[in-house]
Amino acid sequence: MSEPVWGILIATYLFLGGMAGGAYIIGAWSDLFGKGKYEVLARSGAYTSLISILAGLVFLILDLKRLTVAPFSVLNAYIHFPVSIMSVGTWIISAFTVVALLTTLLWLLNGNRILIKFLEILGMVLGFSTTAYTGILLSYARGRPFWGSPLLPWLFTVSGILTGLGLTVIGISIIAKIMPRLDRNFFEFFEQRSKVSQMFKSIEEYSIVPTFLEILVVILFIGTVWGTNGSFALVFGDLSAFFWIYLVIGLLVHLVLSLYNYIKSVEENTIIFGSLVGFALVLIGGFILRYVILIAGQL
Amino acid sequence: MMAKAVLVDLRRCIGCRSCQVACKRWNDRGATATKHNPDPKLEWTNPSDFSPQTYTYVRFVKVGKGESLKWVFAKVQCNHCIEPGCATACPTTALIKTKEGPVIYRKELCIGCGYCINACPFGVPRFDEENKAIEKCTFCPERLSEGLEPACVQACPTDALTLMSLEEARRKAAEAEAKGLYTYGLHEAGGTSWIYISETPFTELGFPKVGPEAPAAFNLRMLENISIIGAVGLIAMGGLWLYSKRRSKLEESKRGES
Repeated sequence: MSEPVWGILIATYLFLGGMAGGAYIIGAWSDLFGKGKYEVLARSGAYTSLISILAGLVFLILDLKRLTVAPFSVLNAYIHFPVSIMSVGTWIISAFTVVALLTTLLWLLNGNRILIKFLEILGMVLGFSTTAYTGILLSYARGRPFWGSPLLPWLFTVSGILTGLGLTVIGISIIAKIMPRLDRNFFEFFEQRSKVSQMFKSIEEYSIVPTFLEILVVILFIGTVWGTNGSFALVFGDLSAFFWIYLVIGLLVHLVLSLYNYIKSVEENTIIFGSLVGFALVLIGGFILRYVILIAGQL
Repeated sequence: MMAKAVLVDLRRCIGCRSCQVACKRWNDRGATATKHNPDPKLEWTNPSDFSPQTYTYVRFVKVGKGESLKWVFAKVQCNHCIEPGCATACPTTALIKTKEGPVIYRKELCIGCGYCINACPFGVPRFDEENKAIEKCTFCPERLSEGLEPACVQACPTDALTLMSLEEARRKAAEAEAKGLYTYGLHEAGGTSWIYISETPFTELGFPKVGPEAPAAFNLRMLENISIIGAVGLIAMGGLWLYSKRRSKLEESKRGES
């Protein structure tokens, strides 16, 4: 077995890339099917996905081990299309970044709504491809049997959508509170507390399904690769502490908070605070998931 | 030139390590400090693994116990797959399979992503942090083109290593298999240009179990399975959504009645 070659930089890239795809899908979906109720969410989805994918690309490029000797060699990654899945991914991510950038610009400049909707349809396909690609890349790596499960891309996709949802929600609050001049819509929206808490509450309700789904998929995934070194390290061994933190803090706490909000009628500010904390934990969990899977596969 | 291959007959290997030394000499690989192999079955294997300075090494494997204990010596190196997983994975075509047999590395194209290391089913490529390059057995293409054998093959005193055409090597391995011997590289990963014959099963020699699919077929099957899971998941979720919608409608109409 070869020594590990992918570490925390690639884990961060997988996390940010998957989350970017998820955030875009959430934003586009709420604009296309939200009947105008979720414009702030749609805007936040575009902005945060752009920031997330750009940050992800920085980590990806920093990990390239020939960057210091041949900085422009990075462009060679486009060459082996469509044979190399990594080359396919390079094209997908590039296209996705361009679409996320255009969508963001059009929202900021209050551009043509039809054009935005057209970009959103295209961007949803590319965002989904970006998220799924991060998993397919690993599942094709034949030297690492722990990654060789067709469930891995779906685990990363579900996690991408859940973390993407978290990022858009957190993004709304950050833009409204810290960068109000970026987009006045956020500031005005955040002033209406009842509207905010109502939206957060329904987002939490919607997030119950993907949270359940992620728990289910992660268990099934481990089942399909049970017996590999990585599976033991994850469940009992060196990485188990991280793995259980991901499962309990990253998923179960959020699930309990969401269900509590769903069943009990909670005070407005508590809803907002609760969902922000819950989603922040989801983000931490999403990062830990990428990290443990990446490391476990190379043991 | 026809596609070349090397037949490795482990029954002939005496563990002299001439191939290890010849490889280092020809490819100008330096000596490195090695560690005692912690696996008691492999403790005489030195070096214990590939490295940027070690393209090939002989595994000294103790097979059996007590009276029936015997040594099996197994030289390992890049197997030069007919359809290489590393070259399929490589986004830049820095790694390619040549018609003559060798899988060669072109440093000037490489970006150092490391995907070949994860993609190789045999765990062969290594990254040299010092020279910022992938290092692995080259199959001595510069010797093959001059009509010479690879350095290790020429050094082998027992003809455990023999250079021949790929066709001949595959035929000989198939014949050996028909006689009840074990082979490695005839079927693994769609077939390789270095093919082994042994009296001992390769699982006992610590060779990784690799399926018969070539990388393109492996990737396609993976993608099919990913798609099937997606389709089943979507149908299941759609079904649940319709069911919950119907139930809430029924509940509403019940409430309306009462």
